[in-house]
Amino acid sequence: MDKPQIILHSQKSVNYTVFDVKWIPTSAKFISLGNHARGTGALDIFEITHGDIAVVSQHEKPSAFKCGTFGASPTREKRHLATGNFDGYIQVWDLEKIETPIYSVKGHKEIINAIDAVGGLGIGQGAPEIATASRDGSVHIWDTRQAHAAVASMEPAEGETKRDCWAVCFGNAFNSSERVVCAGYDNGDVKLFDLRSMSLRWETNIKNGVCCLEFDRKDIEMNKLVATTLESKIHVFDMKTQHQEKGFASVVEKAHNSTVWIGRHLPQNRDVFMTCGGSGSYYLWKYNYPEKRTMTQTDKTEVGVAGTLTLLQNIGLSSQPASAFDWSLDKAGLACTSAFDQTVRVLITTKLNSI
Amino acid sequence: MPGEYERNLLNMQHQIRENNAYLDDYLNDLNSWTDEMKKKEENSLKVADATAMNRDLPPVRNFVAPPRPKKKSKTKSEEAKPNEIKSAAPKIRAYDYRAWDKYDVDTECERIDTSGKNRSNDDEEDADDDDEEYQQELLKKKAEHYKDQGNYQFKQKSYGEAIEYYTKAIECDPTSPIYFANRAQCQLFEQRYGACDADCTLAIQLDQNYLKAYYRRSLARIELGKLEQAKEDLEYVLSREPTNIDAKTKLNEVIKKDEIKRLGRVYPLPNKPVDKQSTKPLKRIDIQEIDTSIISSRETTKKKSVVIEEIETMETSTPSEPVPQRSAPQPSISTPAPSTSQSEEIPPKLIIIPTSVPTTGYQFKRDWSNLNNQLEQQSIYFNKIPPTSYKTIFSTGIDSSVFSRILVFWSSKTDIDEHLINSMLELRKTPRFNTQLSFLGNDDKQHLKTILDRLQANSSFASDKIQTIVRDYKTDADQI
Repeated sequence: MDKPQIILHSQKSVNYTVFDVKWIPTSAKFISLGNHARGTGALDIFEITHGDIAVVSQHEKPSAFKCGTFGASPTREKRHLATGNFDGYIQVWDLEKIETPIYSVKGHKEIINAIDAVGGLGIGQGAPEIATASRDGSVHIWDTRQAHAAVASMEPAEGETKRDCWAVCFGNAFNSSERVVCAGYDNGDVKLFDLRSMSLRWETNIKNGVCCLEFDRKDIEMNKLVATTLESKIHVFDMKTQHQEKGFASVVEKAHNSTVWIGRHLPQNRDVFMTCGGSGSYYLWKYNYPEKRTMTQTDKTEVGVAGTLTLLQNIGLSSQPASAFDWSLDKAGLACTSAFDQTVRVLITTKLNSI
Repeated sequence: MPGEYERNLLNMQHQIRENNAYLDDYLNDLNSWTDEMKKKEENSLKVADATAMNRDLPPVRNFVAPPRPKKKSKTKSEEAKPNEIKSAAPKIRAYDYRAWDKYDVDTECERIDTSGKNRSNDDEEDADDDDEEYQQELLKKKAEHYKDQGNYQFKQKSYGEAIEYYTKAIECDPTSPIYFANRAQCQLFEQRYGACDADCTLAIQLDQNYLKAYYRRSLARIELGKLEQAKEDLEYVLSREPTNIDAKTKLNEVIKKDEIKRLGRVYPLPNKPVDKQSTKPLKRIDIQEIDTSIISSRETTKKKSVVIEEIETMETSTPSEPVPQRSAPQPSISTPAPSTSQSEEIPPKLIIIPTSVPTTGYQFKRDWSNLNNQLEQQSIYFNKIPPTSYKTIFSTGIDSSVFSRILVFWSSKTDIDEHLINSMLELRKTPRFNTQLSFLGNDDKQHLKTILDRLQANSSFASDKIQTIVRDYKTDADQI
């Protein structure tokens, strides 16, 4: 009974398919990105008011949105939303002047599946950069100061089959030069690219297509990586120790009885994360570190030791898969989520400080 | 009385109430928080316009820095130079006549000129340097880009387009041997061997150790017919990389071609399939002159007219020179042909006796039949055979016709000699000799009798041998 409780605060129905929801930094508002039935993009701004969700503004854009992030916003006050859409365009919007984007480039030949940004909002050091992952198998890094061309790209070699890239995330951005991008593909490949040395640092295959990747924190030395996949699997990698052959240690958990679509760490506690499944269920997990995080092998090399996961709480909110989930940076436990049943919901998680 | 169950119930109720209270607190908190956030937002929006982006951000990743604008450097130098000039020479006052006397106009003019040049040079150099560096970097990137596109076209087998891209790459960066070598490869495929040769040469000039370029040049040179130079290139490649199989095979080809050129078209016999052909190079064999007189005589004798004469007047031609064996039967076969065409007379006397001694029964039979029942020749031929080889030649037993002939020979020999005795001795060792003896015809028996009588009459030879002969050759002839 002293477990954290996940409670549905409010919900709202919309008339389009919602693909992403994100809190607007330093506000009680969040945006939703989606796809109208007529193929145009929907960008709505909602606000939570005394027990209900109110629509602030609704915008329609020529092409459907798939994903968005505020991570490359230069400051917390100036909110720039970077979005990826179905036509492969990445665009950056200033929410105050939302009529035209401040940066737009056709970055990919096909739909941009995932987007992530780092360096903005006053978090971390280094220049704000945006990473996009697309169905054309490539991952591009963008800087809003350089128009028309990606700053770095990770593409499959010529002649190799292009695998859909489904997930991308930044990490290890603990100083202005270090940065790492992790990409997950539909065949289960997880590749870690180092942007400072422009090289592939680690790759592995976790057998099922990777739906979501997230480091527990972007702006510290990489600590943990959560990968959620098809076939109801959740992998947590201990990223502190890399072994030459074995790579990173990991723990695997089976949950949700369906594809695990999303995994998101609580900003206020990096060992707690929420996963959302294809059955509309939400599971709150806690990662327990092992006694010793590294182990010396017989040949004097160090290998990491993965810890364990404990399920803190779960709740089923809809019958359709959850398409997005976002914790609020400003209020611990407050989260917004969307599902394919054309609703956006606001959740409250209690007792998080007693974990 | 609160039992276990009740206590649990109470606990649960308590928990639930606590949770609800907690939740209510939370919600209230949330409400106040939202109001707070709204106010914050309004404030921040007002402030946001004022505060510019003061953050010092690191440069864009993988960025090629543009040159410093020229104006800056100019201003800098302008600032610098006047100071220098000022410090270099203090101004000479107008009333200082002594100083003016010492004033050297020419040197002053020179100094001003050179300083002016330096300034402009520095400016240009600065600008040029910046420009050049930047331009060079840009060009190098462009060149690489073109090269990549050229490679792509190459893989698609559109060599013409690939050549164009490589040409563009070369225009951007003429210092890289790779572009030349790649273009050369395309030209090989396009069969422009002269261009390929030129490109490879350029690549080699840029990088002497670029073995691929040497190899490709050798291929082009082969096609152009410059075999010596191709060989040089291939030998160089092999000297640097002895394990290069392609170079080795090509070198062998070139050597073969070279030989052909020099010696005229000589090919090995195409009887065998290629993989079974000998890989040894063809060897010249000197032509040996044999005695031409014999050849000419043979030729003339072929055309000689028929002479109707008995066998004894025939010329014996026993060529002693080594003549290939195969040609032997041919003349003997050919002679009957002209004979039949000439006349119905007796065939020409001259039939070539096979020079080589037969070693097998087959050879003997063939030669014997070729001699065509010419008694004299047959006797000569037969006499050539060493008696010891009778056993092997007549390993299947002597033929009755042959035996009768032999008997004729022996009876015609008026004088007894060692050879005759030996042959008689050896002949009786052939299989089924006794059978043959018993089947002798009357004439043959007559011949045999004469031989034996002669033998017995002659006492100059070993009597025991004669005795054996007489004993073994005994037939019923005696009873005739």
